[in-house]
This record gives sequence, C-alpha cells and structure tokens, in this order.
Amino acid sequence: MRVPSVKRLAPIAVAIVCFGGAAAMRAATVQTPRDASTQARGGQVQTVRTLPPGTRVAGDPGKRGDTYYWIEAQTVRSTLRVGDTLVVSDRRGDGKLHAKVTDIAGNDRGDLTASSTVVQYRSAAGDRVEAQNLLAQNDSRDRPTLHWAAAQAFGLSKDGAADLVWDGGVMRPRRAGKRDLDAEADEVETVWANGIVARLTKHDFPPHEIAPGRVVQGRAWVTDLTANGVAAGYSIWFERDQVFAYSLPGLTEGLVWIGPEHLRAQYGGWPFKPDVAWLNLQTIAAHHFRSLIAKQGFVARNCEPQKPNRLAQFFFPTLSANEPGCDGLHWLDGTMVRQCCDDHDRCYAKNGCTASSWWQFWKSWSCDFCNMAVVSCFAVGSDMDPCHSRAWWGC
Amino acid sequence: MSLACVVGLLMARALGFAAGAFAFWVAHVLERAHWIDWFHGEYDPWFLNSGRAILVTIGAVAVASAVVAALAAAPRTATGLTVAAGAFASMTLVLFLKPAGPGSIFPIVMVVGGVLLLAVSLAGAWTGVRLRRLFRAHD
Repeated sequence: MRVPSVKRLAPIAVAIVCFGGAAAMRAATVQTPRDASTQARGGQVQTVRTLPPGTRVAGDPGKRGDTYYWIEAQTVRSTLRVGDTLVVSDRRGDGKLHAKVTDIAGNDRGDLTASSTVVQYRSAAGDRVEAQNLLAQNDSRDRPTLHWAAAQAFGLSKDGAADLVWDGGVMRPRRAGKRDLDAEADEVETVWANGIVARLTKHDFPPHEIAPGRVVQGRAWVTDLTANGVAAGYSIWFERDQVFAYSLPGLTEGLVWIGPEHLRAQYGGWPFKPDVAWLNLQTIAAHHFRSLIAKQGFVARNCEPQKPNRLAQFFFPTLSANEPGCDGLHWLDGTMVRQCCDDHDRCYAKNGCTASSWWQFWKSWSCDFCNMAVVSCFAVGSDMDPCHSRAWWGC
Repeated sequence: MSLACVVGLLMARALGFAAGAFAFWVAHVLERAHWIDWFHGEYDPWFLNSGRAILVTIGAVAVASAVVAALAAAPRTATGLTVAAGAFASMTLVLFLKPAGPGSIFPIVMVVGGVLLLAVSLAGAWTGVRLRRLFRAHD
C-alpha cells in the first residue's frame, strides 16, 4: 500500500524540485530583450555595476579615503619649504588649484594651475634658462590636492618641464629621477578652515619611552597645531619606528599613540605610506572631530572606538565591517531589538572587536561582555548600553 | 519490500537533508537575483534582511519538507528535523560565504534562522503527513 503511494508521488516531487531549481536559475540569469538589442548594436554601453545596499566595498588601502579628501578640501592654503625654495598653493574662486614657487627672497620661480583635466605651468626666466610654458592633460589619476599641486610645481621648477612623463601621479622629466618630497621637505604649513593652522617641522630625538615598554627614537616629523593663534596640540610621526602620536590638551588625556602593532591584526601594519601632508591633515582632523565630540557628544554617546579603529574611520571608512542596525537581521531593525544591535555595535567599535570575537573568546573579556550583553538584550530586552556601565568600559 | 525500506531510509535521512539544503539554496538564489526589484532589499541579499525573502525561504523549505514527509516510507512529522538540518547547514554556508560576511551578531542570526527553519520544516512535514493520509484514505 505504501509503495504504490511512493511510486505515485515520487515523479511529481522530482518534477517539482527540478522545475523549481530550473526556474530559480533562469531567474538569476535572465536576459531582457533590451539587453539583447544592446548587445546586437555592438555592446558600446557598459553595464552599471550596482551594489546591494550594505555591501562592503573595500577601497585600495593605499589610497586615501573620502574623509581625507573632505578634510583636505577645506584647506585654505598650504606652504611647503624645501631648502631655500617656498611653494605656496591655494584654492581660488575658479575651483582650480594654484601653486606659486619662489625663493626665500621672494623671487618668482614659476607657477602652476591645475584642474581635474588640465595642468598649466609657467617657469620664470632665470639666469641661464628661458621662460617655459607647459599645457598638459591632467593624467595623474588621483584627486588633485594642494600638496600634490605644490609637489608638482616644485618638481617642475627644479627639474624643468621638457620631455615629461607621469610617474606615480606626478610629472617629471624622463631623464630626472623621482623626487622624494617627504625626505626633501623641511617645513609644511597647512592653513585650514576656522583658523586652524598645522605646521610641520623635522627633528631628531634620542631614545625615549613614549608608553610603558615602547621606545621611539630618531628622525621625527612634528606638527604643531594652533587654533586662532593659540597652541592647540601637537602630533608626531617617527619615521623609523612607524609610530604616530598626538596630544590635544583639553580634548585628549595625555598622549594618544598608534604603532604598527595596533594595526597588524586588522591591516598587517600601516596600510599606506604616511607623508608630510597627511600628518598635518590627520592632526587637524583629530582636533576637528574631537572638538565636535566635546561640543555635541554625537559620536557613539562619547564611547570612542579604539585607536586603530579611530584611524581607520578617518582614512578608509569603507573597510568598516559593521552595518548600522542588526547585521544579518535587518528585518528586525524596526523593532525593539534594534537598540540591542546598536549598543552591541558601539561596544564592538569601542573595544576593537570583530565577528571572530565570538569564537576567539579568550582574546578579549571586553568583547565577550559585548556578546553576552547583546544575547541578554535579545533574550530579555534589557537596556545594555555599554556606556551606562562606565566602570566596566572606562568610557 | 526491501526496496521500500531503502527508499524510505533515504527519504527519511539523506534525501530530507538534501531537500532542505536545496530548498534553502534555491530560495537564496532567487532572492539574490531579484533582491532589489522583488524583495525591495536593503543591505546584502539574505533572507532575514527582508520580510518577503523570509516568506519565500520559509515557503520553499516548508514545501520541501511537506513533499519529503509525504513521500517517506514511514510518514512522520519528525521527518521535518532532517529537512531543517539540511536547510540550517545551507543557511550557515550562505551566511559565512556571502560578500558582507556573517556580521557581528551571527550566532544570534543563526539561532533566529535555525528556529524559524525548524518551525517551518516541522509544520511542512506535519502538512505532508496529513496530505499523505488524505491520499491513502482515497486509495
């Protein structure tokens, strides 16, 4: 009695399963008539590559992030000094970048105007050279910044503007070597919005302990920050030790430092090569965002992410693994459990936790507490805002 | 009779597991393909990120469970457990292999998804058993 029933129903079941599978595959690969007609016309259009909302698109870690360019775009003027040469670059009303090269006595050595499409350079006539004019297409492939304009103007004024090639986003004569402006620069001053000025100089330091057990020494870039002429803090980058530290009195407690050991687990070390312009902008950004936090308290209820995450959010926010709301359970974002997820996100951000913290429970008690808190929150709906437990979190 | 036993055993265990896994996977493929237009999905394509996707997924798993239970040599509601296990295995694979990664609360997601799949699998199996009895009554 059973066997005939099975025999009767089995073909129907197999047919249903096969039909369902085929329908799903066809739906996934369906080609519309418009697609087909486009291909028939020679395929001259490119398909727009859409990204599902929430997809993490990791940018090139070696490139600056959008936040960097947002900060940089508010730079009013940048002054670069290399030996007895000064390059002053600024943004003007035409939206272009201008860089003027002079010697220490103020004598004209050339000037450069750059837009996203064209670079124009005029060299001044010197004792032994004639004035040259250059009009070139901007093929640097990077977003033009004031520091880039200054570096470009300085290079052209020193090496000439004949037989040029693009090398790492900067033009140089084919026969000339590539300049290392970070090594050559003696001083960089960045004038930012709201009366903020960052001034970088270079110093040599004897060995000293920047934190318990962490000794740094050697050549360092030091940026002094002023706000409306009043000292507002400083930052320092040790070339050899690859350590970045900053102090903003009134905004930070003591010296905040970040070394490659903080970044190794997540990025394998510094994911980009810090340069002199970066140090000034990083210092300005730290002051700007910390001032906002102090005034508005808008960032994660004053619970701040760990040092590496703070840096990561500034330069490569697209690498952030977290989504607002309940990751993987966004259907519940409109419910009361949303608060549990947001608290958990803040807790993770503060303690530098990742999804692996769930199974690598021996690595961080703080992350374990984040996880216990969110489980408890889901289970009983209690308010587990980590900032409420300041003794636990040290917020 | 021995053939019926073999078929029954396969239906009750391996086939149920495979059916659950396949049903979840088919639903996920469909959701990926029409995440924006059909499911109005935000974030990454994943059945617990959209109400419609939840309906499609639990519908697929419930149907698979009902079919497997109805065809089993010894139709029992407990057949839904193997279907749920297969769907859960498939769900776990998809969760960890999707581009956005498992997310920061993935154990909770797995529990919620697992409970959901278990419930619909058992419900589907229960329905399948009832349908089977209905067919037998007409035989």
